[in-house]
Amino acid sequence: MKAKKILGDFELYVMLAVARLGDDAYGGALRREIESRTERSVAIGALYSTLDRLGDKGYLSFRVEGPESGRPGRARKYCRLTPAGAEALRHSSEMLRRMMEGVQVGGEPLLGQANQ
Amino acid sequence: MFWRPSTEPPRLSRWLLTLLTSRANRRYLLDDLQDEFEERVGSDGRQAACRFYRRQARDSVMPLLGGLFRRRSLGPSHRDAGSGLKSGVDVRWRPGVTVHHQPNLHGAPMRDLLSDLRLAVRTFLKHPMPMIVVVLSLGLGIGGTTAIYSFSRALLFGSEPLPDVVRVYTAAASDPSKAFGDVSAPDYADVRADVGSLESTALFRVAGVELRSEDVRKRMLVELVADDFFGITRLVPTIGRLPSAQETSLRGAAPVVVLSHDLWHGEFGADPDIVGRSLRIDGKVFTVVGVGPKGYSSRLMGFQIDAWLPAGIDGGIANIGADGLENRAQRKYGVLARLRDGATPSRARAQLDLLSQRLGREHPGEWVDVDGGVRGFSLLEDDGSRVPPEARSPILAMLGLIALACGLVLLIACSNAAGLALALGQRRRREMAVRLSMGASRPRLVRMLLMESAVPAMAAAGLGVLVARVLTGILRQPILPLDMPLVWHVSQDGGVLLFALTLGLVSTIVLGLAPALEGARTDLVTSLKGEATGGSGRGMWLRRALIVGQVALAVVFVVVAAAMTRSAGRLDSSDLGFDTDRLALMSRGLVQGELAGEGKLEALEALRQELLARPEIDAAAFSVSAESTFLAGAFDLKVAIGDREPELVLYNGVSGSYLETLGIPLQRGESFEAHSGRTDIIVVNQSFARHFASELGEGVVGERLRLINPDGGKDDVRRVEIVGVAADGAYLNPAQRDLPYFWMPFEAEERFAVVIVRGSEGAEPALQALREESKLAEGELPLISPRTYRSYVEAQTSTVTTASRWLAGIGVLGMLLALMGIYGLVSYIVSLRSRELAIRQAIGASPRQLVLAVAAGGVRLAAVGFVLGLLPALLLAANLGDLVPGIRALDPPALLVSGIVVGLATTWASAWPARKVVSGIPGQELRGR
Repeated sequence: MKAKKILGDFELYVMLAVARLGDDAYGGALRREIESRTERSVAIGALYSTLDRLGDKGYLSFRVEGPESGRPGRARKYCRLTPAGAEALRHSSEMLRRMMEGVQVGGEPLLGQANQ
Repeated sequence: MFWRPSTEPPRLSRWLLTLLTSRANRRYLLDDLQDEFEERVGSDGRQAACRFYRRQARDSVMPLLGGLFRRRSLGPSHRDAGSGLKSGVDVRWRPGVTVHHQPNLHGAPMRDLLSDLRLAVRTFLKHPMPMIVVVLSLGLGIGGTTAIYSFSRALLFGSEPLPDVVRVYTAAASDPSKAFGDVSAPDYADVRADVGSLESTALFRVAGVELRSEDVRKRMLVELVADDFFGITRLVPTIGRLPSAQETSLRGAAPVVVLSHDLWHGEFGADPDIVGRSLRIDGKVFTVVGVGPKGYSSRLMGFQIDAWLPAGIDGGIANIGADGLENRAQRKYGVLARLRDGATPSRARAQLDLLSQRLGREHPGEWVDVDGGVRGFSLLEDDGSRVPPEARSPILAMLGLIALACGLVLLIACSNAAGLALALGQRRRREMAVRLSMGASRPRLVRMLLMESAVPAMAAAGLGVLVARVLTGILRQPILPLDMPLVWHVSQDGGVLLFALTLGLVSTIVLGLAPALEGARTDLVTSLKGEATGGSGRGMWLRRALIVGQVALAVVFVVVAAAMTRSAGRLDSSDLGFDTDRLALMSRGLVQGELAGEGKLEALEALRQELLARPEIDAAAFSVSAESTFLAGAFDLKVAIGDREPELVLYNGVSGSYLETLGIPLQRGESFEAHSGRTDIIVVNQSFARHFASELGEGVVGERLRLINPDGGKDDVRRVEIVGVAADGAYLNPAQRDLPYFWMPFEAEERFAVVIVRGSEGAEPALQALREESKLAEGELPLISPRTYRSYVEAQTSTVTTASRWLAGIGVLGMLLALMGIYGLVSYIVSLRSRELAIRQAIGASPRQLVLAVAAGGVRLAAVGFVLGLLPALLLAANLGDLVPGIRALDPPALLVSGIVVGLATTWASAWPARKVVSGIPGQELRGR
């Protein structure tokens, strides 16, 4: 059961970005958030298929806004962590933290850097 | 900045993303990306933004594909998620429905299909040359057919028919081929006022105007419209609004313009703030009120329209002038109308008949034609077609003919490909037998072989789409040496793609089924032993017939191409019968601008005098058309002498000194100079005198005759006297010198004039002087831009040369296809007879004898095809005379060359496979024994 809760690399980034952006977490904002923080290029297609996958696992719930819902502006799909998602995020981050704990690279503790 | 950069993302990338993203996510993903794209356009510029967009699309392909595969196995909750959501409502993916993608559950057929595909690609690569030829010929066949399909769809079925909408035409009294002519504006006003069955009416015509602003100077093709045009056609604006009937009234319209979707995108970068902006068109200021719908094509021949303008603008527009709206003889407009509730077309027709009778009484000059009959109105219900009714059947016939030719090419390509596949199949009998004995079922083998033909067929369909795009792009612009942006609106949408793919699928079946069935029918024991089963004669007659057909078709192409190439060679523009070396010309409009008005002849004469005063210019004249140019064929009158049935003869209306300016030598009599001020005189050429010799007799000069305007009223007859006979020359086109032709004095009614000057020091300085002296006003679009006479004539002959090169290309292609067919057939026959050939060789036949014996079959077929193709080729060449000046049907050198080419090529195609097989097979065959 626990094994299921482990998030992949990119999934973890996405979940963290969703948690950080809160009510503003929609596709474009998430993409930019991850791209600016990780400094790696993120394809919008990769993001959306990951969102779908996380939705399938029950970790995210969705809400849409845009012309279809009678509001002006572009169509947007917002997401939010579900309780199961929050639990999975906590679990994966904890695992990562424990793995990094006490590890020194080039004489400096890894976790200290990560925390800065 | 005046124009904003476009915020339209790269189309291909957007299309790719649309294709790959699931419906549930599509809108959101595309909108997110659009947001960022627009931001980047603003901050980094359009190029960088496009690069970003393309990279996003490229990098998204694999993840999205993976997502699509995964989704296929998921429940319906995904599909619901995108469309049925209410805003603000939390929707959870139901975790219970989640099932992981398991292709192997029902994956067996898929796996087989994939392995078939892999095998097919491998087979394709193993025999690349024949397969490449197959793909090329199939692709060209599919491309040609698809292009023709797009054209017929665009022209004949331009749009959905508008219910209750009718089109009104003017009908000639006696000539049924002229039952659907255009309508004049005053007649339209009467229809609008008098015909009670019509609820609302609209007027339209197509014209050229010039858009000019700081950054843009563009010639546009526009529709001039009046009254309820937008209401009747039910156009929906992309942005802004469409003008009301009030604003486009025929009297005192508002200066408003609606841009087409293409112009808005192309010239204004799809600027959303375009509405309200002012544009200068033909020197007048118009306000943009909206942008028209995407994919609009004019009801006139389906031309692409750049904008809509009110026809009733004060002072007129597009060089049409007030006369165009007030003169009943100017029948230039299309009329659309909507029927009142409960009114029927027949009732409207009856009312139109009454009106035409009244008009016949009140305006006999315009409504009673030469034979004394009263013209009428005709009315047709709208059917969406872009082609006038009388032109529909010829266009349909022509498109049908081309479609038939393309279809034939396609069929030939298929049959050739099948032939090659059959020949290959013979060599693969052992492979099939091994597969069967290992337990493969026959349906499985058929499927495998079908897949092998699907690979080239689908590759060909892809190539076909490309070829169709290129062809449509080339054919979209009619080849006219006009300085006018005439482009047919031919859409290349999903329907066209589907058509090409269907052709590909049909080709797969046609091309693959016979060899597949043949291959699967393999007799196990014999094949495993390596023996050929001997020729089964089934289907051979069909293949022979197809080969004969394709050789015949190739002969048609080759003979016509040879005749055209020769005629293009004869289009010698260096000697036209007059001296073009020092001539320059340009056309001037006489309806608007400085030359318009009552004294236009005086204004033209004044311009001529100004030109003559310049040292660079020796002589100057003006005329209605220009000899040996496309305009020359546009003016004709019926010539009536004595009791002889009147005949149409080409003419030119000219100023004094015209013949002298061009250096057209006079044989007898005098030129116009000697009869200054007289309008009842003409000068004819020698061919004219010869043609009417029995009526005119020896004298010619001093004889009188009548000139009848075929489109005019009954009073439009003029009596004139022949004052001179000029030498024959290439007055219509560089290839035809012996046509009857005459010159008459230039008339005040003309709508434009061609100004021609002869330079004292060559054409270039004269051209420069002409440009300086005769400055074009803003918005004046000349039919002929200033240029030297020689370059103008050469530009036109090069059109013919280009066309003949194209045809020669098709001829070579047809020839190649036929050769492939012969090659395939002979290969097949040889593979069937390989054992017999081996035994014959073993008992002493020389390879040479065997090759001759086998090749003779192919050569015989080619000979039959040649003879059969000759007759249609000659007929076609004879009928091309209208399109290609100077083409001769019976052109012995062209025929001889075609014969030699076809003969040599077919002999080679028959002998080569025979030689190859005869030298290779015997040892192997006898070993098998």
